[in-house]
Amino acid sequence: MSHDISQVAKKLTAQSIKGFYNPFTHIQFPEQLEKNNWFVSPELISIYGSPEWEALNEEQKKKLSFFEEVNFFSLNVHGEKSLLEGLTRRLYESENQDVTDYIHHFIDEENKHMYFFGTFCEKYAGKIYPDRKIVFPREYATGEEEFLFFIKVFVFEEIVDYYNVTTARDERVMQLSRDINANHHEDEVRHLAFGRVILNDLFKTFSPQWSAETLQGIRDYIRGYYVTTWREYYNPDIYVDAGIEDAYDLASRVFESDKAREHRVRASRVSLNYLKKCGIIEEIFEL
Amino acid sequence: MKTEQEVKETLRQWVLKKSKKVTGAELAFDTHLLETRILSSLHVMELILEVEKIKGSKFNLKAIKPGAFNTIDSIYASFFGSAT
Repeated sequence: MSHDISQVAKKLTAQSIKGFYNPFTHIQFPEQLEKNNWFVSPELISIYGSPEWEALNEEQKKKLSFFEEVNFFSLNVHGEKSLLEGLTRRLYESENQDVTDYIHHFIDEENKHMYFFGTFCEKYAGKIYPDRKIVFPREYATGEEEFLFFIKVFVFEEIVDYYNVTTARDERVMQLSRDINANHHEDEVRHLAFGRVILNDLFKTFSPQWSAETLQGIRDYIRGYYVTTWREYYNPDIYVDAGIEDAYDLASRVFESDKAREHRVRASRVSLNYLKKCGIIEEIFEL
Repeated sequence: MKTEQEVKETLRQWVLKKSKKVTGAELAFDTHLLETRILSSLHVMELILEVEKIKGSKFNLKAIKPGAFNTIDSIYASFFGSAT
């Protein structure tokens, strides 16, 4: 698991320059959307396979798929806002100029994605679902805060990419939604590659300096962050807007169901395997 | 509508279920949840959902004051008190 971060950053920078585009003309947003459409692959809908899902007719399922996509895009807006803050703080902080060069492209592309996600939500739903995450200040061991920043980026982007790829390839899904997901995936391939290399690099650099307690705390945090990230996909706001009753109980019940657990394991398998291969986690955990 | 005692007890049970770091005998309404690491930042999103569920409505997340999640007493005062 050894990569030269400089070489990776240079290669990704060249690819970003080659694929550079104008976000304001790249994807066309029509004035109105036909809502009787699939906006996300049905199998990705949070309550898919539950008795509540089976009780809906096709039109209701499609309406739910719209709000599921609004939630997914809202999560992306919030995630990318945090990512942009963190990346901006890291500009010109690395001793490696190639890394700094690539961070410029990373920021540029994340800003474009946020424009696509935010425009869809505001234009067609009139809102972005609020972010319920709060981070409290605390003290960190050397390198711990840096490592945790990139772990959060890694977990968030790896899960998002599973959704992007599935929806982008699904011919049942309406074109605009497929286009946004496909575009995001195309850029994220580079971000994921960078995230994996830098994460491994940071772990190798700092973990020998961490106490057993710090390392265990980090491993617990990774598990907790996966669970919290996944929990946001079961947002009661979606069910309220889709007209489904007992939204809060439904969100908890579905989140804890075996079917949903199987889905989360499937969607997280690649990223968890990578963390295990790097020695960052010791065992693949349940989600 | 739940009484103050019922709301606090519901929250106490939620904390016990979600945190493995405290027993029922150790957890009082005025126990510090964050300082003692009974709860972490990662628990807060689910805690907010629980508060919304008990309350039956959402609240302005931007208006949350520092210290709101320190104890079960402060959670009650912040989200269920007469001023909210």
